[in-house]
Amino acid sequence: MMSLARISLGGAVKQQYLFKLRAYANLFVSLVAVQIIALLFTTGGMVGMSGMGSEYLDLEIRFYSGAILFVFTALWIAVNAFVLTLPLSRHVDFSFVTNRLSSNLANFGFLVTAAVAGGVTVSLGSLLLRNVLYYTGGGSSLIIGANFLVRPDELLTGAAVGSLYLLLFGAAGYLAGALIQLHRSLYVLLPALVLGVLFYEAAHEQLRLLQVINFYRLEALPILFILKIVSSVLLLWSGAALLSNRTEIG
Amino acid sequence: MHYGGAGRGVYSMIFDTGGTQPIYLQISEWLEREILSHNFATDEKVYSQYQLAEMFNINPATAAKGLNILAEEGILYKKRGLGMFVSPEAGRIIREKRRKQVLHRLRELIREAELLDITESELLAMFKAAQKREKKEERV
Amino acid sequence: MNAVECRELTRYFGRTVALNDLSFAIKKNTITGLVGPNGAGKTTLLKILCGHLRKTAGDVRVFSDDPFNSLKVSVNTVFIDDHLALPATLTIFDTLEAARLFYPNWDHRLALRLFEYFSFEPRKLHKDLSKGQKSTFNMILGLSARCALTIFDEPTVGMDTAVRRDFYRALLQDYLHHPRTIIFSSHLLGEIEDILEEILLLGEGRKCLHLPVAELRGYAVGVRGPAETVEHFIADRDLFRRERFGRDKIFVAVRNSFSGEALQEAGAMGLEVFPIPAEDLCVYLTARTKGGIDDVFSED
Repeated sequence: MMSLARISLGGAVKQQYLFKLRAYANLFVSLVAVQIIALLFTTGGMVGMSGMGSEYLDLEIRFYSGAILFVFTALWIAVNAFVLTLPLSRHVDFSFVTNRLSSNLANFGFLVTAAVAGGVTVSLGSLLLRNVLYYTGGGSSLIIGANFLVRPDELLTGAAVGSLYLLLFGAAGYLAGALIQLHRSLYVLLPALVLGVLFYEAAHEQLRLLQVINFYRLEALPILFILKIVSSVLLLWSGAALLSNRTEIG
Repeated sequence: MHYGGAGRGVYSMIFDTGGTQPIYLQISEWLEREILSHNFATDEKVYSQYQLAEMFNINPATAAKGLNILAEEGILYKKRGLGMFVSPEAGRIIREKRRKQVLHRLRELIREAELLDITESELLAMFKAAQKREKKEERV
Repeated sequence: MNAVECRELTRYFGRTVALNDLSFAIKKNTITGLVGPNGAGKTTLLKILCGHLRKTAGDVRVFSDDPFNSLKVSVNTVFIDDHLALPATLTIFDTLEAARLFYPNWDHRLALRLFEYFSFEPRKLHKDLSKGQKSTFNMILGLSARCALTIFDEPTVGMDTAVRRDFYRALLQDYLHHPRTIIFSSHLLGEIEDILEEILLLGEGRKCLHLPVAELRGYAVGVRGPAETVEHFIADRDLFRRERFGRDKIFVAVRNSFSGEALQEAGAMGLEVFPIPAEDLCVYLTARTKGGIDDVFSED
């Protein structure tokens, strides 16, 4: 006689999370690939360049920044968060033991892992960038950096801040995905809406998007910064979890 | 049966699942034959529903139905928790039952013979001839 | 004790009704065959039972829980069909290892033995398997999970005859040693009939029949003979099928409520009486017309 098996929500989430780490291990390979491409972009082209010349002097100033590296990584996590909400990913979850809540919670756990991996690699990547530039700088170059030498604790802070931002992007991608699953037409409508707002604001020179970014960026108190990010992420996730709690696995 | 492994192949020949007879009846008839040919002695335990299910590749509930028919007819008796056993009366009951069936088949044969205008004496002659052939084959 | 209970279960997809007022119960530890033509609602029903789809109305209970979003139902249910989604990056061997962690009753020894018996290459990816191999692999998953409710929805797609037979045999063997509630939907009723205990026949989202397989064989009889004699003989019994046969004869399939004597009399009246195989009966019961495809070719 077969007795009924029992499972707690925590147990189901843990199993799903561990399963996702195994099943989606290739995403971390793609993270490294994306970052290498970002670094190539950075060392090849310049983010900003100004040249001055006179009869006696030819001056060229190049700005290198880790921004491209971060932007690429942010795109990586947002896209993958989006993919996690697609029917195919849900189907795989439901081939094993889950309900909609545990599937979402496991995805959140996976996104936290991805964000930390992204944050750490971005931080290390910018360190790598400095080294690459230093040694391949072309002889005559003089590298001026505000903080060219990075202290380990700064590296750690950089990784933490990077991870938190990535978490935010991941959560945004996840909510967008959950929204789009509601109806097929949203596949077109949602991107159109976002782009529309951006263009409108650009045209009217009132980039409220910047205000949103500044809401996080200009926060001076670390604890408040963390709180702002974490509560935003939780808000986005709750929205996504609510939206997808009635999803059918057709 | 649709198929059978090594041991089951033999029974596959006897059973037909073309749809004429419910499988549980085929099971009970097969057990009757086993008892008649002394493969089970009086008061000996017969196969359980699970053994029969495995042997014939059928659902155990179907096998149980076959066993229960024999129990209702007094051919088998139940010992609670132990299984089904061959009753002392088994041989007599089966033989009586089969005799009735033979009679029934004879009647069908007679009806068929009438349809074909076979006379009584012709039929008897055919019967004797068939019996003779059967005996000869037995000796070989 | 019932493993599954449905009361007036109804499901709409837009305006189409997939399940219509369906009420039935499935006893614990039985093998039930779910049959019916394409579009009868079999898959919809099974997906509601395992919590993948919502019901529109009525009540559905699996282990006395509403299966939608129930973890208890999920951990005690395995649902195998030919669309089973598995991670594209895991080898089939790693997929077994992953599945093992999800199901508390998982039998890894059985999984590995079946894996070996069907000569799977451990390092292959699920997507690289042929259709039949996929079905076979999914079947291994379904059996090894040892779930109290094991659902197979057309699991034999692409399997050759030998593998199908092995599958039915493996299913029965494992069921004998580890009884559980199994629901098996298939078009090949003739093949699985013997290992079933009950049969649930759906047609256009409704329940046509739900009874022990043993009773299905005697459920209907076929009668063939001169039209008038046949009509007179069957009187007003439930008619499932009527076909013309030869010049002036007909064949009918009717509910078998005849006495033994009545059936013997039929022979004397010049009628042929024979049992209707389960598979044929299911076709008759779910057909839209009483005459079948011959109606298309009939002159009148």
